[in-house]
Amino acid sequence: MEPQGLLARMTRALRCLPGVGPKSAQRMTFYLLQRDREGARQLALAVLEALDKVGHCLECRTLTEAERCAICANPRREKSLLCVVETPAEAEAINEATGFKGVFFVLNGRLSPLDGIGPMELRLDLLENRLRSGEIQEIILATNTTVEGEATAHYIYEMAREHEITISKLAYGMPLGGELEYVDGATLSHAFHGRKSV
Amino acid sequence: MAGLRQSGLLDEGLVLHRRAYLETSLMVDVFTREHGRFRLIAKGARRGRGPLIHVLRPFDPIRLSFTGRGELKTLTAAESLGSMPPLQGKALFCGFYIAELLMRLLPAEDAHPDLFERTTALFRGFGESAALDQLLRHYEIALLEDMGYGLRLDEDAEGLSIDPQGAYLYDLEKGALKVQAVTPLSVSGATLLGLEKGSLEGDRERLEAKRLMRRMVDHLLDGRPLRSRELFQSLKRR
Repeated sequence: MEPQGLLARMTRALRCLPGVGPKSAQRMTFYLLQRDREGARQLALAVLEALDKVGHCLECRTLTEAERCAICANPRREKSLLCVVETPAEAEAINEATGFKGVFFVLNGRLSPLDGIGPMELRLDLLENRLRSGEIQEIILATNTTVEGEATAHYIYEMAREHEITISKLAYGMPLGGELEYVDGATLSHAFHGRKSV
Repeated sequence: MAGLRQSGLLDEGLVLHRRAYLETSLMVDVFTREHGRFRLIAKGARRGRGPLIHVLRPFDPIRLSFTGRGELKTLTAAESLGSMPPLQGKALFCGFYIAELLMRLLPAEDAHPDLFERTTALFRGFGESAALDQLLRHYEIALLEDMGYGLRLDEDAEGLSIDPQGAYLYDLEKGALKVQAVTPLSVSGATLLGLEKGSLEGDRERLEAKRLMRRMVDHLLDGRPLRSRELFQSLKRR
């Protein structure tokens, strides 16, 4: 039987965090209770409040406490340029790394029939509405290069094709600073076949 | 098998599906030549930049070794078995369909070496051929045969040669039954003969063949819907 009591309960609860096993969870429990009770209280309140108030952006489906996220609400963002990503973290990464001036659509997943995830689970109906509204001129498919990510990109490509929109997809290739010898075969083959003239 | 650490059982296989398992591992469904279909855990496959996650790509052939007596085995090593062109577009959706069929229809750890060969050839064909529906029909017939439902496509239930101009109702138990009038469920003799030869000429034959094979496959599935087929159909409605 698992140990009872509040200490054990807190340790078990902390194990829901990524990368936290039983040992680290126990260390966190003791640390918070012995050394940083105020920090622990803030953590608990922040988690509770975020759970109550953070939901999905009405336009792009990323996580936000407002109706629309900061990017969608920003009037200086180009609404005609839409980048489709699988997760909020990927939208954040592209936003920070690329100087992208358009807006995002976050799928919060990818098509995976064998896991029971279809177009409705990804809310592709919302994306379809936006395509139909005519405000989008270019769509950038930035799904992952897994088979599910590729299938998702193809599906959205077929959706967007009817609407006379420019459709592009992230380029595959050599990692920066990478050496040919150490790059895996599939990446190397993509980089080779998708080579650019200079 | 050179290159693979000798630990546990060795086999060749196809990755049917994989999903994240715990923090750094993958749960992988494979269809192997000698051990049939089963599920295994690839420990640490998502950690770091190790090559394992690239090797365990759905629809790709691998050479693998594994241990474990229970239902869930443990992968001890895997390497890629060649340069399959990655599936693209519609072929990916066909890949999901075949993977779902095999996961639903094959009992665990039941060897089907002939079907394994055909599946490997099919996935290769998906990358090379544009006639996906022909490849699928051909494979579905082989799958039914492997499941013990071989189709008789060159003669009818009474042992008479199939008439290309005739109309037939196909019964999985009895075979082709000649009917006088064309109905939504009937197929032409030309379609049956085309399926037998592996070459369906016209649009009508292809459509009839697809419907016929769908009914046969559905029979094996006991009416439970296939998610990959629903997805493919919603793609085609585009």
